[in-house]
Amino acid sequence: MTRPSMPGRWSPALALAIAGSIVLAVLGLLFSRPDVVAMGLPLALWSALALGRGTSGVDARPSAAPRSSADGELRTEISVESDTEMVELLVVLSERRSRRAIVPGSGSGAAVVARSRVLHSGPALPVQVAARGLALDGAVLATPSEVVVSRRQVAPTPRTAGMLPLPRRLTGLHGSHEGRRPGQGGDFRDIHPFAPGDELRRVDWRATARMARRPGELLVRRTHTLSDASVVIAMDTSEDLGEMVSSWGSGDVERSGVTSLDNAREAARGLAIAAIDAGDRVALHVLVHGGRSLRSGSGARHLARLEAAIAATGQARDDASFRRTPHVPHGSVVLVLSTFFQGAAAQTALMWRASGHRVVAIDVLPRLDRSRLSRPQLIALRTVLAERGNVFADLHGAGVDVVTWAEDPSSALREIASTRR
Amino acid sequence: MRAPNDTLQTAPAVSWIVMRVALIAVVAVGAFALNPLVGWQWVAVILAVTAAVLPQTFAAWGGAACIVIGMLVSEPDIGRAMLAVLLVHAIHVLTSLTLVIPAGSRVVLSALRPTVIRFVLVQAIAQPLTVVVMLGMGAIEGTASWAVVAGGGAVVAATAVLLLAAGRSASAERRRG
Repeated sequence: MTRPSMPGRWSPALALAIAGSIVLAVLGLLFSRPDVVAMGLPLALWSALALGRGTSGVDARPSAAPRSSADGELRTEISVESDTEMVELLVVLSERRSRRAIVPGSGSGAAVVARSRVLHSGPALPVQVAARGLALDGAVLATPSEVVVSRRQVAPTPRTAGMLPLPRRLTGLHGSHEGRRPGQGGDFRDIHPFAPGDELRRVDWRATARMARRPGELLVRRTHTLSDASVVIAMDTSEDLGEMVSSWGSGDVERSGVTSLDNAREAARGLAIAAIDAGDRVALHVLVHGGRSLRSGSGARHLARLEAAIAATGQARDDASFRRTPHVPHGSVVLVLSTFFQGAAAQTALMWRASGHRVVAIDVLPRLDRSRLSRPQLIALRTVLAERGNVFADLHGAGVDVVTWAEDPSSALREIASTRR
Repeated sequence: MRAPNDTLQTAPAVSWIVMRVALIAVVAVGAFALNPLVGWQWVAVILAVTAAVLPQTFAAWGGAACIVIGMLVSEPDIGRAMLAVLLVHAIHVLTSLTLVIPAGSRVVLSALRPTVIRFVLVQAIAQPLTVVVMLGMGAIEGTASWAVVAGGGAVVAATAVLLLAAGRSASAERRRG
């Protein structure tokens, strides 16, 4: 829908020009000085041009189009649709800093390219732009346009998670993990008397000759079945804490360093890739009300959906409430990604563990840089870290494994995978 | 040195400071060239600096007034009159621009093309008229010449017409909406 053209308004420059030309003419007449009268001529002519032009046709409509981005940089092309002489652009780059530019209005085409270095993964606003049309050396001012926002989702860098722990009971019918039930595809299970439903090719003739007790008794060779596991990735997005502790709560994303949500997105992507590569089904839940949920699935297309959802996952609003009970398939491995400063994620993990799921708590807090902290701040940090230590102790006690993503997650996960709970 | 995290790439542009410095330069040139009184020269420069720092004060118009005072206390001269016509117009245009070019912004040079064209157009009309008016005054020395009366009358009539037109257009806009 096209917006109706709004007339602009005059700046004080026009009134000054008219008043100046009159004053100069009067002074020239009073002092009999034609040179003083002549000084008012350009002002009178300029005013005549201004009034002849009027205040219409100064609307400006900006637009922002993403361009192919180089490594570690987001580029956005800003263009303005306008018939006016010049346009004032106010551009907010990546919510970090604002820039203003006066660009030509009519027939200029796209002239402005915004570049922003990618400092964090996840949803980003590389450009927010508003425009105001100007005409006649700024004597006509348009109403500022609405703010146009360009949104992007920055995928986290893929990091190999290695081997994932398996659930205590494998229930799937297709996959690469050896289950405990008899079936096909796995290793040798046992020798068992032939029963209706057994395939004749399974009959082990040598075992039958050696161990059959009665004439006509047949023994079959049974194998384990192959199953897939169900993996659930649960992301706690209530906090986004950077490695620079002094930047916590400041919203300074430039100084924060790697943040907990960067780690959470990286972990979620790495774990999803590892699970899908192993032929498992993966579900994703963001633990806030209204948070994104992807149902269990497998395969390359599901992985693409998961990666898109992970890249679009940002910090929850401050007033967002925690979602405690997303649906988890029976017999799943639940990977809870959180900083565990707040007890809600730990309680959810404990609840899932009590329901019989295998739960791994993945601590996504980055390595902390304690520089620039005052003594009271250091004491406060030690206190909250000690509380977090208590949370981890509770989790350990309930049989929840804890992995620190900032250290060596693949070997920790391998170690956990090798122990069956 | 590390490259900045966020940059805005435009066509060739100048900083907002250039416009402010140009305003100070024009007022200073006008004051020193057209005003023989040293005190008024420095008043004009101070007013120009004030206008550059705080454009909303319109102090540059005070600088233009200093030029007018200089013209009044000096003998009429065609060259000085032509320079005054050029400088007063330039002061007005630069004042208008500094009002709408915020601090910290960049001005793409091609955005100033309509301003330059209009400036040249207005000067192309005003300068010959100035020459005609000054030559007319030179022909009748010592009295209030016909040129002064005619020129002054024309400017006043033109401004009166303009004000009426402005009033009409404002009332029409009010009716529209």
